[in-house]
Amino acid sequence: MSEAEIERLAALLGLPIEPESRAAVAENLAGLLNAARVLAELPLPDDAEPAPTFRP
Amino acid sequence: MSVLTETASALDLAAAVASRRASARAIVAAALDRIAKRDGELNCFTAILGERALADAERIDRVIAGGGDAGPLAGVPFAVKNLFDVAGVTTLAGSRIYRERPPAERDAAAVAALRRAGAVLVGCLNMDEYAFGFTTENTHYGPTRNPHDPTRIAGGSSGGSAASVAAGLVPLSLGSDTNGSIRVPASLCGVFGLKPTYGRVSRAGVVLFAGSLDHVGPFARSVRDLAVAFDALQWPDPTDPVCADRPAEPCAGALDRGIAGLRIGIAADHFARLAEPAALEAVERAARALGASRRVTFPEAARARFAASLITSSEGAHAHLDNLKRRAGDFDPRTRDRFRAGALIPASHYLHAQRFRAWFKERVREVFRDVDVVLTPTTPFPAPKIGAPVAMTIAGVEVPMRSHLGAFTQPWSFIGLPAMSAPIAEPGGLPLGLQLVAAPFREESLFRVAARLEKEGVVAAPVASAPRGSSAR
Repeated sequence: MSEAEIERLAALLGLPIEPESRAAVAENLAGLLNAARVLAELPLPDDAEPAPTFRP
Repeated sequence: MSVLTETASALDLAAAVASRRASARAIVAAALDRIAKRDGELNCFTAILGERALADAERIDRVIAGGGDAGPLAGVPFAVKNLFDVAGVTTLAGSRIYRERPPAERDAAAVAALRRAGAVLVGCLNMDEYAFGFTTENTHYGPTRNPHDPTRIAGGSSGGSAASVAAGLVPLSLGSDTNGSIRVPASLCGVFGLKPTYGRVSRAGVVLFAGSLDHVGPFARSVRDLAVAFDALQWPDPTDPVCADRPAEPCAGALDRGIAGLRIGIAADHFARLAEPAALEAVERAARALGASRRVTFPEAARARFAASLITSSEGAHAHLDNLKRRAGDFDPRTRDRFRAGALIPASHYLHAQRFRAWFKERVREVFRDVDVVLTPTTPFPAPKIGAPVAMTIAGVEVPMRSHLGAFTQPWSFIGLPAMSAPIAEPGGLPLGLQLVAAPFREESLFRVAARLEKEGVVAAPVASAPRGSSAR
C-alpha cells in the first residue's frame, strides 16, 4: 500500500490526508486489508447473509 | 463508621443507608473526599459532580427518613465513562471535538436506571478517544493510571471506569465494550466487569463507536454488587433499536444456587496461545476449583478477530467521517490515522466480515449446545507500562501490544455473547482476569460460576489502596 494509493483512495471519499500522515494511514490500511485477505481465504456458503438483519 | 471507607461494597452501603446506620450524604461525601485525594494521581475522572451528588444523596436520605424505599442501591456512589449522556454535562466520548457540544439534556438510559435504583452519580470517567483503544492513553485528557502501579496503563477503552472502582473511589461504575473495552480494563485493574449479551442493556444516550458491536455494562468489586447493578440495568427499551424485546432476567437471586448442572469448559487453541504463562495458569487454577477439565475448541476464532476489526474500523470511521474531513487535526493522534484507514476499507470487505459473523455465530452456537460456561484468560498479559513500545514478544512471536490485549475478548463481543472478567486472587504480581463466557442471555450462568469462584477465594477484587512499588504523589 503506497502513499500515492492512499491519496487516490482518500480522494474518492473526499477525505483530505496531509502528506506527512499518509505513511501511517497506509500502514494501518495494509493491516486491515491483510485481515480481509485472511478472512476471504475461508470459503463461506453462498447463502450466508450479513449478520445485521433489517426488519420493516 | 466502617461503611464510609473505600473497601465497603455497594450493598453494604445500601444496607447502611436503608437501616439509617449511615446517611447517603455522608457516604457520598466520603467518596468525593477519596476522589479529591487520589484522582490527581490516577486521572480517572473528567468531571466530578459534587454539588449535584450531595443533593441527590440528601433526596435519598429524605425518602428513607419518610419511611420510603429508595431502591436496592440507595446511596451508592457510582461514576460513568464519559460517553454516557449525563443531563447538564457535555458528553466528551474522550474527544476534544465534542467539548464544543451543548450539555446533554437527559441522562442515558443506563445512568437513569442506576439512579432509579437509588445510586448517586458522582462523576464522569476518562476513556480512549471515541472508545477506539485498549489503553486509555488519551492525549487530550492524559492517561488513566493503574491503581496497582501508576506507571502502568489501566486498560481501555473504559479505563477510568475500571481504575476508579479498583482504587476504591466508587464501588460501581459503567463502561462500554465493543471488542473488550469493559473486560480488558477490568482484567488489568483487578475488578469484575460484565459485558452483557448484545441488546440486553439499553445503549440509548450513549455515543456509539461501532453500533453493530457496542454493548454497555457494569464494573464492581464483588459478584453480588455486579449482579445487583446488572439487574437494575435490564429492561426492553424501545428507544435503543437493538435492545432486546424480552423481560429482565434477574441474576442476583441465583448467586447461591451453586454450579450443579452447569457444564464448564476450558477454551483451547486460539485462547491458549500467545499469552503469558500467568494468564494461562489463572484459567487452570479456576478450572481446578470448578472441577472442569473439558477442552473446547471454537473454529476460526482468530479470523473472528480479523472480521471484528474490519467491522469496527469501518463503522467507527463512518461515524466520524465528517469530522475526519473537516478537522482531522483535532483528533487524538493515537486514533486519527486508524480512523482514516477504516474509512478506506472497501464495502465488500465490510460485508464479507458481516457474512462471516453470521457463519461464526452458528459455529459457536453448536459448541454451546454441549457446554454452558467457557473459561479463557481475559487478557494475554497484565498491564503494560504507559507509553510502552508498539510491539512485544510472547512465546517467541512478535505481536502488536495494544491490539493484542483484545485477543481473547474480541471473538465473543463479535457475536454478542455475554462475558465477564473476574479478577484472579493473588495472581503473584499485577492483576489478571479470568474470562467467563456463556450462550446469549445466559448471564445467570456466568454469575453462578463467578459466585462459586469468589466463595472459594479463587477470584477477588481487593481495593488497590496503596500503589505497589510507588508512593502516592
